[in-house]
Amino acid sequence: MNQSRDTILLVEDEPNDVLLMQRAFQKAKLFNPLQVVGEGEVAVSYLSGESPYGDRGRYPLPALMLLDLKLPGMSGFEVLLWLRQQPGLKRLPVVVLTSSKENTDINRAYEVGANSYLVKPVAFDDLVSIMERLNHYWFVLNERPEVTPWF
Amino acid sequence: MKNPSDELVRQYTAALQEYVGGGGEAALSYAYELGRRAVAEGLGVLDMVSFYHEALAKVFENTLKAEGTAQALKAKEFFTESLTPFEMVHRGFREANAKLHESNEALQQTNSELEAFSYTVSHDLRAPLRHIQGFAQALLDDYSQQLDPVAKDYAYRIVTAAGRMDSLIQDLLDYGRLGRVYIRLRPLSLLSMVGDVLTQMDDELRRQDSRVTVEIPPLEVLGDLIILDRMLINLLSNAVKFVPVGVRPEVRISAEESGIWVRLWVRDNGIGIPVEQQESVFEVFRRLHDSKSYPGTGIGLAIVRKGIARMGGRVGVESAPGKGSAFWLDLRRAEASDEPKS
Repeated sequence: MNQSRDTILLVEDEPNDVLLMQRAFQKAKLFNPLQVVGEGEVAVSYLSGESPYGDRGRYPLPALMLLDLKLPGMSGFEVLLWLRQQPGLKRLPVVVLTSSKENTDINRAYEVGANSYLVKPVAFDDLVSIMERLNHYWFVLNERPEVTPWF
Repeated sequence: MKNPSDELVRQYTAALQEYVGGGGEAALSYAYELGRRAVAEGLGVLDMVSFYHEALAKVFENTLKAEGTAQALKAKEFFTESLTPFEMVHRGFREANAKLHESNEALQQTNSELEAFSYTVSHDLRAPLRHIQGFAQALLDDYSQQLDPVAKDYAYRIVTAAGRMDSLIQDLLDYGRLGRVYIRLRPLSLLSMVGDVLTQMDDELRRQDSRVTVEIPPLEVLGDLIILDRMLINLLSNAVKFVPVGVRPEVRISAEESGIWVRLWVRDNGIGIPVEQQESVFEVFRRLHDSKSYPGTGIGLAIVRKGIARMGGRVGVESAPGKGSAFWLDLRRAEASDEPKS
């Protein structure tokens, strides 16, 4: 199955995590184009197609967003709160990927509209296996909604 | 024995009576002092209110008898309208309440500091750990050809050490959480609980070729299932871990009643613990051996001790080097105790 057109938007501020994620994507044979932004505000700009993300050819709307919760400035929770209020865009499936296992974070993430909540594992091999399953679930099994820009 | 609160009511009533009879501020201050004393003795707010009303009713009754309706009504009016004595009594428990509130706030402060601490530990401390592990693993995976055996060994050691630190952090978090979680004591069947734990540990026990015998009479204990499970797992995995090389682990789990307690024993044929170290094995991160001979984080028994303390029980060990160890847990017998108070 060719899923190469489905972009994944990774919202992650820690460069080491970004590098490891990219590597895990390769190992898990997840060949979807990966767009990375390091701040909540930038994720909002990207999703709403504000400059410099106006060109949807270069910056396509993602089919899935991988969202860290702890970000400088606007947090992952706030990104979710914003997203779920955008007509059309609000259907975008969001998988939270964070290092926090605290119940308060987990509950809050679901309250504000996360579709899944995953904890970053310490062992890299575990990250690879999580990405394999994520690929299988969200891009093979899961039926996807239409995600459209609202403007 | 004289009931102190009856005595207080009597004195308090007398003081108010004296005040109504023209005793002046001194009588009122004395009533106030008595009210304070009652609060200091642990009288609750509601009790204090009924204490006051009781005294008031008596003063009214006495005045009615001795001085007639007009005077009694005057006394009643005085109390209900001026509210001064009431205010004075209440000042006593307002002070006590404020103190309670203060210590409650301090507790909440400590608690939220602990939450923040564990958040930092789980969130921030683990991030660099993930990176250390991930990049060392990347070296092993992608540059295996370029690395000589020594370099590979080093990278492998980094991976292992990061994994170990992760277990330590996880255990420390579990231990910390154990101090904060809400404990729910319920009657539990000892036999089925031990059975469940043995099933959970089946792989581990099989790997060690352990022989486990269970001799538990049908007894119910009061405990928190999740915590008790964790404690038993820790005791059992220690029992099969600390054996001399080449010795097949043999564990005997038994239980006996004694008064309101049920004592659960976990006996092993392991290396044993010298008397002088039998207390310190229960400390956090206390290890008696190097991690190469006996791997582990050194928190298992600390969790057992904290867990049993939270459930109001006791733990101990009887052991001698080379003679095996016998750990015991004293748990409350379910039938023997009243329903747990919430």
